[in-house]
This record gives sequence, C-alpha cells and structure tokens, in this order.
Amino acid sequence: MQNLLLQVKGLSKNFNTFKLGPLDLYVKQGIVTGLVGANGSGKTTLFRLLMKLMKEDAGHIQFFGRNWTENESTWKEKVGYAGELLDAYDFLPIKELKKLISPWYPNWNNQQFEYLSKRYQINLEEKYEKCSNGTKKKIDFIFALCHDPSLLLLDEPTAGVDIVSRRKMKEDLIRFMEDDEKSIVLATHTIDEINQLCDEIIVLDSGKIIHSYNKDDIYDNWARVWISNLTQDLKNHPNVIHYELTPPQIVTNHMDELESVLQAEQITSLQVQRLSMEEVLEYIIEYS
Amino acid sequence: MVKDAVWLAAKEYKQHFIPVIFTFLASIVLGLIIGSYLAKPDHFIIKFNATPLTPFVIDFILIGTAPAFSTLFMSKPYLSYNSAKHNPYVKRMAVLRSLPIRLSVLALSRTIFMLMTLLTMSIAYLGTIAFIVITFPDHFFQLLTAGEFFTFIIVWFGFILTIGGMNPYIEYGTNGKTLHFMPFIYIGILFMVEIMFYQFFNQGILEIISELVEKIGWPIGALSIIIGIIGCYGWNKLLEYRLANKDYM
Repeated sequence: MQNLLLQVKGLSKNFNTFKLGPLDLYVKQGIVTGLVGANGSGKTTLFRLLMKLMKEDAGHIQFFGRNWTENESTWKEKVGYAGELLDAYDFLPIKELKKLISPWYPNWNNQQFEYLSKRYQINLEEKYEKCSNGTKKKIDFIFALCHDPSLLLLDEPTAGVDIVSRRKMKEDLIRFMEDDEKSIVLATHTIDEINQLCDEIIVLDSGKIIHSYNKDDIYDNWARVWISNLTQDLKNHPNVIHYELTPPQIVTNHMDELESVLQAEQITSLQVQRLSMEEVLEYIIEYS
Repeated sequence: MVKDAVWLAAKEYKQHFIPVIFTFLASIVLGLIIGSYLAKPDHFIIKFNATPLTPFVIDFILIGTAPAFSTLFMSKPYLSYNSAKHNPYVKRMAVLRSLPIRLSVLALSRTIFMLMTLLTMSIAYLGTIAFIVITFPDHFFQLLTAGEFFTFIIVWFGFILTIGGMNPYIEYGTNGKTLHFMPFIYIGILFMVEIMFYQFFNQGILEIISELVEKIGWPIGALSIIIGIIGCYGWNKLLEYRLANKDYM
C-alpha cells in the first residue's frame, strides 16, 4: 500500500451560514488529487484548516503519518502551501518577502528560487502590492515550491495567470511528481489541469465531499446513451444521473451496470458516447 | 527559540521603520508637552495645592497615554478605522502561521517587538521629559529628588509593561475593529477609575504614587517592575494560547 501523506478524519468547521464537513480525505504518495467544486463549496476553508489558519470544531489529521498537533513546524517544513496570504505583506518587495520566508525552511533552495523567478519573469525588486493578480499567484507558487516540499497544497494556483505561465506551472508540477514520492492537492476550476495532472478527483459541494473518483474510472464509467425508449424504472435508477425524453437518452455514471439494466428491461442501446471530463464534472456538480 | 523570536521581531521592526519614526517623533512631542508642564512652577502649585482638576488632567494624560508607548500608535491601523477593519495584524500573523514557526516563537516575537517599541518610545518620551526638567530644574526638583524622579520613572515603566503587554494580544489575538476601539475603551475605563479614585482618596493617582515613592523609595519601583514582568509573561502565554486557537480568516 502506498504511504499516506495526509489523512483527514471527521474534520468539521461551523460558520454562521456554512458548515464544512465532516470530511474524510486521504492523500497517497505519488498521487495528484484534484479538489473541484463550485465557488463557496469549501475548498479554501479546507486548505486553511489543514494549515491551522483556522481552528477545527472536530476532526483528526495526520501529516506524514503523525498527528498534526505534534511538531507542527516539522510537518509544515514539508508542506508547500499556496493560498493567497501574502497580501498582508504587500508593502514589501518580493526579495524582502523571500528574506522573511526562506530562513524558516532548512531545505530552502535559493538557486531554484532564482531560476523560477526568472522563468516566471518576476521582478524581485517590485513591491508585492504593485504586482498583478496573476503575478501574485506565480509568486505564491514559487514560494510553495522552493523548500523541497513533499506535499503541495495549491489553492487555484493558475487562476488569473497568463497562458504561457500556466503551461510552465503545469510542467513544473509534472516535474515535481516525477519521483513518485510526492503528492499534490490541487483546488482548480480548470479542466486542462484535471485532465493533465490529477489522478483522483474529489468533488466538494456545500462543505461536503459528495464524490471521490479515480480519473480513469470516470473515463470508463461515465457515458451518454441514446436508447429506444425510456422507462420509469430507468429514470429512477441510481446510476442514471440525467435523462432527456426527445430523443430518449440518459447519462450514466456506471456503464457496465447500465448495460445489464438495459438488457433486463429489453431496451436497445442505439448509441454510446463517452463523456469528457468537463461534462462529467458539470453533471456531478449540477445534479448532486 | 529566543534567537528566532528576536530575529523575527527585529526583521519586522525594520520593515515598519516609517511608523517607528513617526511614533518616535510623536513620543518626543508628548514628552515636550508633559516636560514643559512639569517644569512650569504654576502647574506645580496647582497640582499640589489648589484645584482637583489639574491632577485629574495630569493623571489622565500620563496614565492615558502610557500604553501607547508599547505599540506603533502612529501606524495606519491605529489612525484609520478603514485600515483597522481589514485586520492587517491578523493577516500578517496568518502568513507567519503558515510557515514552519513554533507558536512559542511567534508569541515571543510579538512580546519582543512590543518591548523594542516600548524601549525606543520610552527613550524618546522620558528622555525629552528628563531633558526639560533637568534643563529647568528649579521647581521640579523642589518636589522630587533626582533619585525619586528615577524611581517614579521605574514605576511608570512597570505600569506600561503591565498594561502595554496587552497590546500584542489585542493586535494579533483579536480583530481590527477591537484594536481600533480599544484605546477609546481604555480611556473610558480610566475616566471612571479616576472619578472613583478621587471620590475615595480625594487625591490624584500620581500624587499618591509620588507620596509612595517619597516614603518607600526604590522598593516601590522594584515592585512595579516585578508586576510588569509578571503581566508581560501572562499576556505572552495568553497570546500563545490564542494564536493556537484563532481563526485567521
């Protein structure tokens, strides 16, 4: 069994108008987990709870197999978090931010910082407040990477980032995962990132994990099927996510199971179309 | 731990050099006002003999402004509600909490930052007062000897340690709105305490302290400093607990 870098059990947090959890989440070594969900579904709150920027109401978390309340600074040394916090020090130039952040990481790699700053065309003399939103995201990303973390927690790292830098970030994340010993939890709304980077997908809705999939299973199981006729039993079947009457068609999340049902009900399958990731996520989020 | 906390406090002190300079200058101005007041003979006559209003005002100024010297009161969150309501201190702490820094180091760095501020601003404030009363010594030193004046300063310093030690807790353990309104709350409380004090003792707070300094001498200064250190330690531990349990966003 692969090692668990992050293990979350029963994590919950109550707000006046929103409740996150209880959540269970497992992040295995060598796996990129995509966290998807509508705005306000709780992705950012989850990251902040993990980083202890919020106090949980209940739950138990282990980073790298150890309780997160023990040796907090030790596990934080191995976590790279990009969560748009640096606005608080927006009066500092980037190089001063680096001087504030880097000494706390024993594995800080200054050469990598210099390299990534050039790669993403970051002007280190520029004050953080003068940077565009996209540039701020890139700076967050660089700071998350430069201390040789084992686990990356990235909260929409490419939102507002230009196309070229977005491609570079994907390349850097793929390189980060090369040795199969590291993991990423990536909150994203970008289908390309899910397709190209993620192995597992977790869907959050209103603070709860409503689905958790292996990406390959999605490609295998989800399909749109045009059929000869649509019965009431089929409409109510748990693996039928959506249906339309004209022409009769259904969307399923379990193709094998559906084929058995169609056979049993003597319904002819006229055409089958595998769904794209984007379509699947739309169905998951909209019809959950 | 102490080395890390000192490094962080010094780093942030350097980052905030503009508010440091303005607070330093404002402390000199306050020192000039109080120093001039203490050096003028008329005011002493009024203070010790005549109307109860003047000691009340002196108490109000000296005790009311005391906690300010342990914080950068000329920084935006203290001067502008608009800035304070965005929780700048708490957001900065969120950045530091996301880094691999032990909570005890974070809390201690805030206390050290407060002490650095207190030391710098006290030099400006008390130095200015001392300069004026030493330059115009005729009247002031009829009331207090140099030794008593020194003890009086020690008492005052202990008081700031006790009350001012609360500042890091308010800045990083509460929210911006509380931070902005706390000075008004403090002044309100002081106002009520003073009124009750006068009702009870028929004397000003500083008058009584001056008498204690004359009668008891340096032990009263030592007691004040001990209370100040205990207060500071207590606030530091409270802040550490608060930082561990706070929602930063």
